[in-house]
Amino acid sequence: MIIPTPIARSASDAAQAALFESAAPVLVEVRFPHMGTAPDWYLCQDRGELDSIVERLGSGVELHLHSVWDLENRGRALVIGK
Amino acid sequence: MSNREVLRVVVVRKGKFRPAEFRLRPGEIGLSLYRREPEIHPAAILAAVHGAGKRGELGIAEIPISAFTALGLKLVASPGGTADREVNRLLVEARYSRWKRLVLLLRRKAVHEAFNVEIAPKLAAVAILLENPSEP
Repeated sequence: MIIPTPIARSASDAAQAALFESAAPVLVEVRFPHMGTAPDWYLCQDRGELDSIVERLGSGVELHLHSVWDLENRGRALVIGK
Repeated sequence: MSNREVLRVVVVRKGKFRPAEFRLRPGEIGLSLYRREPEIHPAAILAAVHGAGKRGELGIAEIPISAFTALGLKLVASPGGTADREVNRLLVEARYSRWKRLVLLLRRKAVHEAFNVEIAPKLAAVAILLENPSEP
């Protein structure tokens, strides 16, 4: 799910905040769709660490956020696009 | 397709890449790769992927196209996602045939799960790490 609209972006921000608030640390999978390479993986303790990752990503990249406490349930991953 | 090899950008650790570099993620139906063309150096592919934010010591793994044929995979031209249009032009995806995907659907087996078990280890075994890909 890619979130393009301003309203949806604020909803995404709220969801990210809730995820870090309630279920940190967060496992971040950075996918590079159609770029001929595997994802990068990061473990973020807080949103600041996530923001520093997002800052240096180009467009077209997808971030899949999972709480480390709930890795079994892939459907609950938070997906954000850049 | 006239080229004999395709390329994949991999992370290199201690001079090697991991077999996981050739796995699909949930929701994906094909492994993205770059055709090898003489007028576009692998360094340009590395730069494009690095520019998208990929981190680590990056290298290029080369796989003969014959390996895909032997595994029953098709190489399908697909729009690339980097900021470099010339590099994007090279992108292909290695996919199961439509028939195979239908069989997997009827068996309620996810494409990425079958691919990761049946295909990814074999591609990793025949892939060769290019030497000095970042030097034109």
